Amino acid sequence: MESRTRKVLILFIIPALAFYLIFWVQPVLMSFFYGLTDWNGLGTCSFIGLKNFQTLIKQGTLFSSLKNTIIYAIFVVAWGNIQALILAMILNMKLHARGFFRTIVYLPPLFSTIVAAFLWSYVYAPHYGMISEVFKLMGKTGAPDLLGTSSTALLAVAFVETWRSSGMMTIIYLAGLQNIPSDVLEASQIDGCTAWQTTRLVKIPMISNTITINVMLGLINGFKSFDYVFALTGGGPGDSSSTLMYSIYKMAFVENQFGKSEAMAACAFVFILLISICALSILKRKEIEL
Amino acid sequence: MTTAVKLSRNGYHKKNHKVIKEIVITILVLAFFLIFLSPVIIAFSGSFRNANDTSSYLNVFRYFTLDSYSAAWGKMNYFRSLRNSVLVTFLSVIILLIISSLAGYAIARLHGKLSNFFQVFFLAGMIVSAQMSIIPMYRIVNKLHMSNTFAAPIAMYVTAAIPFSIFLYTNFIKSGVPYALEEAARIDGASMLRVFFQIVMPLTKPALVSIVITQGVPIWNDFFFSMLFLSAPEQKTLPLTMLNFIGDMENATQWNILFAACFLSAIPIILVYSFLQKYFVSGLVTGAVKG
Repeated sequence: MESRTRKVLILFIIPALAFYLIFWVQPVLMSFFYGLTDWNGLGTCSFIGLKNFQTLIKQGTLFSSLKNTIIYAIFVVAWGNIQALILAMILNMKLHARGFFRTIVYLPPLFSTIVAAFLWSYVYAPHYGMISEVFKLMGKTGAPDLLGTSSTALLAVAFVETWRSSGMMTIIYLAGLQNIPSDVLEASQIDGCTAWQTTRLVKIPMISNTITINVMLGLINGFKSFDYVFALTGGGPGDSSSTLMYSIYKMAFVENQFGKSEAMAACAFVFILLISICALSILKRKEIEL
Repeated sequence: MTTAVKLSRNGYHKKNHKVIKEIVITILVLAFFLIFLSPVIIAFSGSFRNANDTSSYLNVFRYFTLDSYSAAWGKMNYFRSLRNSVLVTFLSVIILLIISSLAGYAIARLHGKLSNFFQVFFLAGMIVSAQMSIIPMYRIVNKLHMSNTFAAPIAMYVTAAIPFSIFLYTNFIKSGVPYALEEAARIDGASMLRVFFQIVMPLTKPALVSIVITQGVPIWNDFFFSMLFLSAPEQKTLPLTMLNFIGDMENATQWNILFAACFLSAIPIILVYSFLQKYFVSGLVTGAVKG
């Protein structure tokens, strides 16, 4: 390629690069720096080395929000994918009004996260919420307060995430299933596969790259989870549903501990980077094996 | 002759059997979706209820009044918020489309080390989440005198969407747009910009649609960046006005209005979806396969 063309092409990258460097790369580098200081938003800040990290470890905040984030992400990936795969298989069958079902399955992702959170805060509300009302209808008392109990709050929040994002995953799975050549399915039928065998031995291996995509999507959403925690529990009760992103936000905006908050962000960054690399390499290897 | 009749009758039975099976499955699926969407259905019926009705929300569709809607409409300052949302989303998506397709195209055509570097460099941005560096972002926006203007959330929306959009666009060009066409146009004397806008962009329509759907819908629905950077009430976007109702979550009597607000804020995008469903599906799928 002639050098003039190369120069023009490099010019094409400049606008995106400018946005990216100013508003994405620079803040991240700055936050690494703030993480080493005791800045609280007012006055001067001094360099305190790794003390923020020590405090985070000593207070247990780092460990507990890391644990919560991992549980959240695992639930979102596992349940989200199972739910979406089953939905996609159902919507791939011969059904009356299949088009209608395929349309409404994408309804939840259209709601904003804050609206989804409102709908589900009604479902979970103690005494007059949907779950309580259903309990009453069945003549039972003692409906669980899922968001208000520290052992269930985190998963109750994660469930809302899977409810809202399942429609998107379903559509991606559906496209994967429709891409399986029909002669392969016919061949498996002629060979005498049962429906379950066809699913396990033919369909699932043939959509393995779709599974990779959806698992990565779930992982990324899971590790960045913030909106639902923010709107549904505020990290509570206690710190039982506080994820990494929510803890970072809370430290900065509620507690005004900017230095500590950014130290936490640095940990989160390294952690997500490592997980993404691992997950991608494992899934890629699996894809080839299948 | 008799065997033929028997056979066909057998076939008829089989077909009948199949139809029944299909109906049963359809009913099961319908039941599943009723449960799956029950929060939406109950909230929808709740939004039409009389304010003084204190019975269970499970008694769906007993009333029809638009009182809650008019209350929510006023509290949200609907037209103003809608206009703000449309403006922010539209500008963000347009800027995003232009700069990320230019960069994505360049990265695909550059080849060599530089191209690889940029591809990985931009992609790495996907692991960053806005919450991680809010304080620095806030300071940078202040320094650029962008705080409390729409420029702030727009710049952040564009930037946050750049990593995925460039990645998608580069892959799309690499896997399907032949270089020969561009070469021919170049020989005919067209400038690089003209080649890009007149030849490359039309060929990459699926990738552009995919960027609009996968990035535009989250921008439309986002409240975080607007919450950080817009404080004046007349600047509020639709998702941001929803935060006004957070206090009502504690108060059982206000659910009607809250539900009405939920649907008011979702109606625009549901309308868009109902007309452009085809593009939503193809955009998501292209994004997933190439991304």
